Amino acid sequence: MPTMPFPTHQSMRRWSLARIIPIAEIELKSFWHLKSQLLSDLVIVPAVYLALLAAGLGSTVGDGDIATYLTFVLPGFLMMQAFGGFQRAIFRATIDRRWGLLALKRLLGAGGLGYVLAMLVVPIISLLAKTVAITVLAIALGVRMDARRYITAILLTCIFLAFWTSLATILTSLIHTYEQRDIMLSLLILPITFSAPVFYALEDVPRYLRIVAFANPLSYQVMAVRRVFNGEHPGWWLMVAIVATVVAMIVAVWSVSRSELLGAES
Amino acid sequence: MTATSTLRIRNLGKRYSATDTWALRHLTLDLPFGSLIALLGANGAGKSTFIHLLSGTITPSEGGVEPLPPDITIGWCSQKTSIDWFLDVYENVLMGARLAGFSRRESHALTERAIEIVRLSDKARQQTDTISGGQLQRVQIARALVTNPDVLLLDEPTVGLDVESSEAVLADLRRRADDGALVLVSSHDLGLLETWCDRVLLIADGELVAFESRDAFMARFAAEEVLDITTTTPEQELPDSVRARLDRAGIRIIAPDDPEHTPALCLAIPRGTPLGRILPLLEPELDVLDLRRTTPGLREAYLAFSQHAATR
Repeated sequence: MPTMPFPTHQSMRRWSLARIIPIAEIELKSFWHLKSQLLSDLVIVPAVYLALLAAGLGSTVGDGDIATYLTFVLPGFLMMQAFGGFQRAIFRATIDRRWGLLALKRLLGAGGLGYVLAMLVVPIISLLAKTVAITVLAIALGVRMDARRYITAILLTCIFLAFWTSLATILTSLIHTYEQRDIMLSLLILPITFSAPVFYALEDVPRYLRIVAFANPLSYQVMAVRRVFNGEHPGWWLMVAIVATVVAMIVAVWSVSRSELLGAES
Repeated sequence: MTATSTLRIRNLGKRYSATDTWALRHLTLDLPFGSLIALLGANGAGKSTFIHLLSGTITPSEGGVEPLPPDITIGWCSQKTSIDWFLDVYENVLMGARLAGFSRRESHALTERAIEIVRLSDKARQQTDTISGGQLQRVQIARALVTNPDVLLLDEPTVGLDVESSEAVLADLRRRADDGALVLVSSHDLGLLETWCDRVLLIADGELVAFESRDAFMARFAAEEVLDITTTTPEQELPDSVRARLDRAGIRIIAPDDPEHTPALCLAIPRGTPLGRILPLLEPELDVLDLRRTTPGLREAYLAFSQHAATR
């Protein structure tokens, strides 16, 4: 007979991994629920971005040398796909809080760390699927890469993905309605995406954009992944990105564990 | 089932800072395992807060529940809809078993059983956004029941349920209580609760008003039964001798509930009075043709309490 603590708030284990597998199973099922969109989300959208937008930009700014420009863009583009996990995590975590499912999961013994890590599973699977599609297309478009450095870069994107899913978990503790969620997403997604140096080099942009980029966590992640991909020392870009990820995860676990699960009497 | 005999609640209170009000205060009582407790109270009395506090989904502002052995298990069903809309009916129930730590095989067996109890087997693979509100409620009940918990906390579980489903759910809860579980059910369906509960816990304005056996509660707040007597003599022509005997026995003549079908005489008698004591008070002046005895239930007792509270 499995055991469940009672009452939960007296014995909730913040750093416990308990129930990570069942929560990951739930997330995978919810992912599969949208199976009709998977081809579009995982293959078509990233392929269109890379094949049309990036290649088009490359033909303009790269003196027609699309492959060189795509080689520059590719690591940042992978990180941009990882950032896509932020939106999904916000979406799912809001449902968990809005519909009392986080309360249920905690009540049945889910640990704080287990919850935060379980919410990472689907975004990682999704990212890896996108990465396969992007890699095939990039090679077809003439991008050449060092396999070992490329795999390391992909692993880094997976680690940085934890920053975005953790941030989503933290932010959803501030969201009480779907309207708030939508406003937050619309205010965050585009500025974060386009102020990070995915499609351009940070040193070539205007000063104001550089300032904005330095305030954007995605910039550090893009730069770290790009440097690893290029075989350069990632330096403080990597350090900042790793520290931010660890801090975000700690705060997310704290946020899940300490929050009162139901706001007021029904 | 647990060897623990009671859930000890001590000075439990909850203050909502947003409204700066105490939703619940100074609750001290022992809830015994092996009982099905009807949690009664008006809207806003603090019933849901009480259930949330016991479940641990909100934290108390004062007091608490004395710790129980760690192997005590809990099932909770919120009044609010708590459904994962991206999972089907079966998966929503299965979630409860898997999260509770059961293996996949055990979880599937438990899920099938729970879905059967709430009579949703034919909807098991349907998406949750395609079923009715009552069926959603049954999904939540099944999820609370699926792990066969030691403590069941159900907040308005029968809202939206059809009569058959309500009966099936309460019958199952009764069986679980008889097997040793502690079952706490809040509901406004007092007729249903009267049939299945054995204790009543009444909260008013955030304070504990009564916690006693169902029968004691009904005897306290609905102390009289109604006796409708069909005779050949209308009440207006009742002989003074009969009136005097009834008066001496502490029996009141009352107005009938249904004036369209007026019996000749309507009496309020102390609960449980044998008919053998009543009839000699009427005879020989009256010819008693028929008798109908109505025993007030939980609903009447609760209403009597409410009137009593309102006039204080």
